[in-house]
Amino acid sequence: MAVMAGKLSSFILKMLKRNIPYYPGYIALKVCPDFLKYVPKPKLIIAITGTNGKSTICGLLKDCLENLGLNVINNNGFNINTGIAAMFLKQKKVADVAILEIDEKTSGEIFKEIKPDYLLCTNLFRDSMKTNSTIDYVLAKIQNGIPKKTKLILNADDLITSELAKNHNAIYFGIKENFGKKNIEHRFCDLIYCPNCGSKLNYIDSKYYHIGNVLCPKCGLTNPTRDYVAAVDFYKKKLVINGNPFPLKVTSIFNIYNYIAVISILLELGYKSEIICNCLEKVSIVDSRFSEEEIGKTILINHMAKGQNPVACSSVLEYVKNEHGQKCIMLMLDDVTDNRYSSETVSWYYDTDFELLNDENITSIIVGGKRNKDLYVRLLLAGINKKIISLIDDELNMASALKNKNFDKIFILHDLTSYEQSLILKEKIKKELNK
Amino acid sequence: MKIEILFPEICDLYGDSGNVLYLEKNFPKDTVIKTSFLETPYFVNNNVGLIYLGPMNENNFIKVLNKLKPYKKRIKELISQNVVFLFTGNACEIMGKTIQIDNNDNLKGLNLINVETIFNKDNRYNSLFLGNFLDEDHPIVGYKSQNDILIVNDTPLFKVTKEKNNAQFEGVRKNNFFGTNLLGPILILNPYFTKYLFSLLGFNEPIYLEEELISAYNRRLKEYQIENIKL
Repeated sequence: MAVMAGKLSSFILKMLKRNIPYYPGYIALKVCPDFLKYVPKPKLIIAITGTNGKSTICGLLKDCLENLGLNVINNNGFNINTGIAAMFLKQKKVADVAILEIDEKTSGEIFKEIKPDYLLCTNLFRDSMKTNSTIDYVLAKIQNGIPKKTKLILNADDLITSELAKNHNAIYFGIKENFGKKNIEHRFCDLIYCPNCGSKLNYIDSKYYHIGNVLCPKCGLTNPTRDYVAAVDFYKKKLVINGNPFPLKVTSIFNIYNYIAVISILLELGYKSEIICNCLEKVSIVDSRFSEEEIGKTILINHMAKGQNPVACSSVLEYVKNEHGQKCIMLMLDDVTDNRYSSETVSWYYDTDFELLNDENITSIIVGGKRNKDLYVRLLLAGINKKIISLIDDELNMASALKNKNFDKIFILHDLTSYEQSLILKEKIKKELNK
Repeated sequence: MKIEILFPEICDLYGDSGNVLYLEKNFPKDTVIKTSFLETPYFVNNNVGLIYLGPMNENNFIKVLNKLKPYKKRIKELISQNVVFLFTGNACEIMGKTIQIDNNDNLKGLNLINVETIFNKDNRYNSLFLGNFLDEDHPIVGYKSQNDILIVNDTPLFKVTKEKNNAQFEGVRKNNFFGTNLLGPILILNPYFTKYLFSLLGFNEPIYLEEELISAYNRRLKEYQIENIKL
């Protein structure tokens, strides 16, 4: 009955040309609240949760497993119960593998109905204050819901998520080598003091925020032993995990961790490193997160920089800073939904490292959208010269502020909710550059 | 005159570290003292003009409360001397009588202001906030995102114009102790309030980036005043 109702709603949506991917799942759950418990499921279920990297890991893993000939289903970012129900409704026959992206706060509810074979937790950071409250809260939510049969795959370099291993079977991945970046230079760090004894933790090597090699000088708490030990060769764009080389198509540290997570899952599933290499050569991060295009001598990069999520946004800003050449940055970070009906809170600007844009190679910053005056204040407080900042109220007109066309790189940094708008802007920039 | 920022490494949630950044931009470097959690607060043995404490997570809330308990007398003395306190988010709850957690434990606060808190971890409350402080010319704009309900029996800080829960008042004031659940960071989002607060410290010059702050504030205020804005 629930399946029929869900599929009927899907058909109606199609006829009405409405794209609401989770809606059939919503209907199915309305008809049968236990739908997720009874729906036929694949033999192998892999769940991915955590603050950042969930969608990227799911996308890469799905592409890899499909390359290996498996029938894979995934909830495409709709990561609460309705999205997961909608995913199962789409199955024509029971798939080989389900890769579930799961919202960290509601994971406990999902796990009452679905018992994954593996649960990978990417990392835990402070996130949107509206939805995620605090890390303590989110950690407890995940911890209290993990089924007994589930094997955890955890980031050893994140001592916060390592807490999840208490009373559970867990394996770890991580980077053991030190990069030599000793100081934490971000606006905040979510783990300053030892969770065991309260002493100040010594970050032997911080990869980003609290992710890194840590030692408590008093009680000796340190990273758990890594089962999958990764080393990064930035120059050759290569990852080495347990002695085996893998291709690496990204340079940002957060995406490197995403790659390590994907490889660790595939190794854990028993695939040989040569086979994984072959898959990774064929896959890349989905376009809605990252794309680049050469327009004449300028590279135009469209990159999601999740608003209201300071770590995700700062990580992208760090990547932008580290890119070579004369750069122009276009910021369209407003939350489209908030802007339509409400007024977006800007508190997250002050947890985000906009100081990273205070760089001599960044010679133009164009800020678009309703919140541009608030972001302007933030950029000035970050020490950025007001002469290089332009404010445009209508995000889609930001290309008009491109006075100089001789940039090596132009970055459009957009929010999760403004991907469609970023594509329109991208076309306008292309026109402007081709004039 | 010294400004003391208490435990900025752990009491910095929801962007309220922007308040610290803004204080640092307005006052000379040697004026602003950042006291880490493992240190003895500067105010214990010295005079200060302003003490700032920002929001923190649940575990740290208990630690900070215990850390400040031995200095209760001194804090009381400073409040009576009209020292300016700005406690934002859940920080002001530490100064209250009790904190009831999830209908179970009753934590005792410092009992320096007449406030009781009810905390429910599964009940997140989010709302835009529009209210008045001293006059109606320059309303206060802000945001609330919290798991706690405050019962204020002391003088409230702001009169509410708009808030989801139809409350009448927000925050608490006792002499120059300003406690508010508003997040923001309040000093950057409310330049007129900031000017008033700074005037209590004898700072009557234009505040840092005053023009830009006011321009951003005016736009936000206009939005908050829209009749059917989603709170």
